[in-house]
Amino acid sequence: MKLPRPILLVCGTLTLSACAGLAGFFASQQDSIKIPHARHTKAGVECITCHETIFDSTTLDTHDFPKEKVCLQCHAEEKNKGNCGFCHTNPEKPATVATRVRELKLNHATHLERNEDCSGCHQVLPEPLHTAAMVPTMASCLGCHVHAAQFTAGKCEVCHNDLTKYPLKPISDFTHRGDYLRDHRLDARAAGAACETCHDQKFCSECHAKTEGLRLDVVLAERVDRSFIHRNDFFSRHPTEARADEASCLRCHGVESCTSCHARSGLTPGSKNTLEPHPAGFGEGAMHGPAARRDIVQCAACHDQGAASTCVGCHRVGGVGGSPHPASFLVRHRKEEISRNAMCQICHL
Amino acid sequence: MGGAWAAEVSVYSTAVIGGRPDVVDGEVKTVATLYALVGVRATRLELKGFDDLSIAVDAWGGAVSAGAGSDVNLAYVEGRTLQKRLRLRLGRQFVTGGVARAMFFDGLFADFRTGVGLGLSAFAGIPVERRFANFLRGDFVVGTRAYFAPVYGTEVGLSFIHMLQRGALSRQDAGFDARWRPLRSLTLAGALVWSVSEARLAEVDVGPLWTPVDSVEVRLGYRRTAPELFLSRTSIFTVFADTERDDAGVAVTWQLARAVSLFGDVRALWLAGQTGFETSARIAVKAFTATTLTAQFHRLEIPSNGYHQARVGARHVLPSGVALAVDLETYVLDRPVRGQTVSFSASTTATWAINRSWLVGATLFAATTPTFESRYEAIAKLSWLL
Repeated sequence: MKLPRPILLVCGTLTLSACAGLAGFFASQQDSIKIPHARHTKAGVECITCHETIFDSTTLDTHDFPKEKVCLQCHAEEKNKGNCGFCHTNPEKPATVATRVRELKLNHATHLERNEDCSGCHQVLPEPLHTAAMVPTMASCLGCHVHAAQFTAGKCEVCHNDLTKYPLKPISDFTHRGDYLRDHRLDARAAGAACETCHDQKFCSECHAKTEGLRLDVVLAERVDRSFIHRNDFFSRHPTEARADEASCLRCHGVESCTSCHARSGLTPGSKNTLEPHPAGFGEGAMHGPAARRDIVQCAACHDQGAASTCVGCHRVGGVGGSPHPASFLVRHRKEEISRNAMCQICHL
Repeated sequence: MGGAWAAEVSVYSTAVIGGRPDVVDGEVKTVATLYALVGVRATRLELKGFDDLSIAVDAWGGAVSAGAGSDVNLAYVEGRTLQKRLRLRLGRQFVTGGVARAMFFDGLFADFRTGVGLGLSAFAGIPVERRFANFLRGDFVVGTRAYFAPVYGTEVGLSFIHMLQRGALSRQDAGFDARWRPLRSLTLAGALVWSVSEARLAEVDVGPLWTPVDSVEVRLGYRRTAPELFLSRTSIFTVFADTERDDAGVAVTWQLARAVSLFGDVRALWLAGQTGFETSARIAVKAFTATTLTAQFHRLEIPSNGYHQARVGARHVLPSGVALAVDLETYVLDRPVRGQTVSFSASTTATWAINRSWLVGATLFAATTPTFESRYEAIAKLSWLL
């Protein structure tokens, strides 16, 4: 049975409202202290009267809210009457102030040494039933000349303990726009410390770790907005991608990665159910010689078995294949190297 | 280590279970994927003489790619000392910068930076290979980088790396890298890598970025690599060729509106004397912060093959935390692989962020490709963070 769209909309709205109501109900059950800051200020109560300890507070990790005895200096009568609801939103279950991990470094003591006017930063103070956080904005921090210079210089750690939890993108200097998957190498090479301001090593290792067991595009399949190199059917077109930019593959995958997978696929010499990927006659020097000169990484992707490599049999000294070295190789490498290099000795017995 | 304790500890995990086809011994078989990654972060540890002391561990285990295994991606302790001028990191870690080439190694990294931005970093240890294979006798890497970083985002460095594999020289490179922002609208970045052992240029990479207005970026790029210099010097295949690969192009990004961005690029390729090109275009729309739509086109053409590729991806997050994603992709090869030129893939994913700590998801994937006539995968995922 198909329900009319208006009925579906009404049902959906009611369901959402019920969920929101339930969430609000449970939230409202948690106790908090009702402090009408505006009324206190109007009565001429100075900040220091209640927040005395803040003048000695050097970090945000300590509890600097007034203790109950401070409130009772003026409001003892209400407690004596048993009117706990005068201050507590849920007097049935009065709670203590929860410990919170502070992500900011802030020394109230040194700030107050310079200026005892709290309203310079705390321009809006919490009122009862106002659930939104009333902490000073970052803009008010940057209103001070010293902080503005630090912000410009990107010295975030002066104030922030940890930026990795924030969805910040430093758009002024590192925009992350365009094909940043490809272009980020330029920034990471020459300004890696700037990357670490926001990204920890886990972020890099998700893509770069040689030890990772599963591709990121499988783990994060829902992130269709992100660019992943190996997404969907990369497998069938990877030979084309590799030929277009062999160095790009080898930055993350050693040639062992190619040969181990090609062995499982039956492409390497001696593998089970060996396939023949080469065209007929490829063994002739006229065919495979120029291909190897042009694209040696492709050869290595299947044939790199060290001393047992296919090429050794024909190209070793005295073999029918002759010397495989390009002219430029002989210019840079002297014969004396042979005795010091085990790899050379595979052919130069 | 007496007197040290964790001020903040977080533990997270992602578990994936699924099934998919794979090629085993030349035959296509269905294999099960079982994978679980567990990570631990302990930050703001307090230890006399150190600031910002932290520990990080990421490890996984399971059965993937038709075989069981487990490994450690990261496992290090890091801290700063000498008034935060000296940063030390010990363990399995990731190093970038200069000629390090995004490398993982087991060892020690140290970075000393003066107040005026002059610095020196160095590392030594054993390069990481898969499944602890690096603990073979004779693998070793040492590297260093001297740099000057006067302001955030501007840096110039000289670097060197020396790597041994089974006791023989695997890689020995020296390099220069720089990033400079002479104007608010212009960023210059580039790097040069010189293979000391081969006395050849291994890589040149430059990519100036021009931002004429805030909504438009133009990036020029030129890169030259010598592909065979990316092979280990211990490979016999390093003696056969002496080639270069070049690419040069331009990419333009236009943030058309707050929710819409356009991207296009074109690059010419020179592959050991042969030519090719690559071009792509993409539109990304983020509507109402809950819906993301991406459509892209890509064309690659090189002498041996090429393809046209089109892809559309969409994701919508409902207020309940349920997110639905769809991904469609097709490409057509210029020359057939296994007699086929067309590949088509489709996937749909549903995730539910139960709260800030728990997420469950499921993906169904279907494809017909040159490698697999028909390919079906099912994946279920559970992630949590405490």
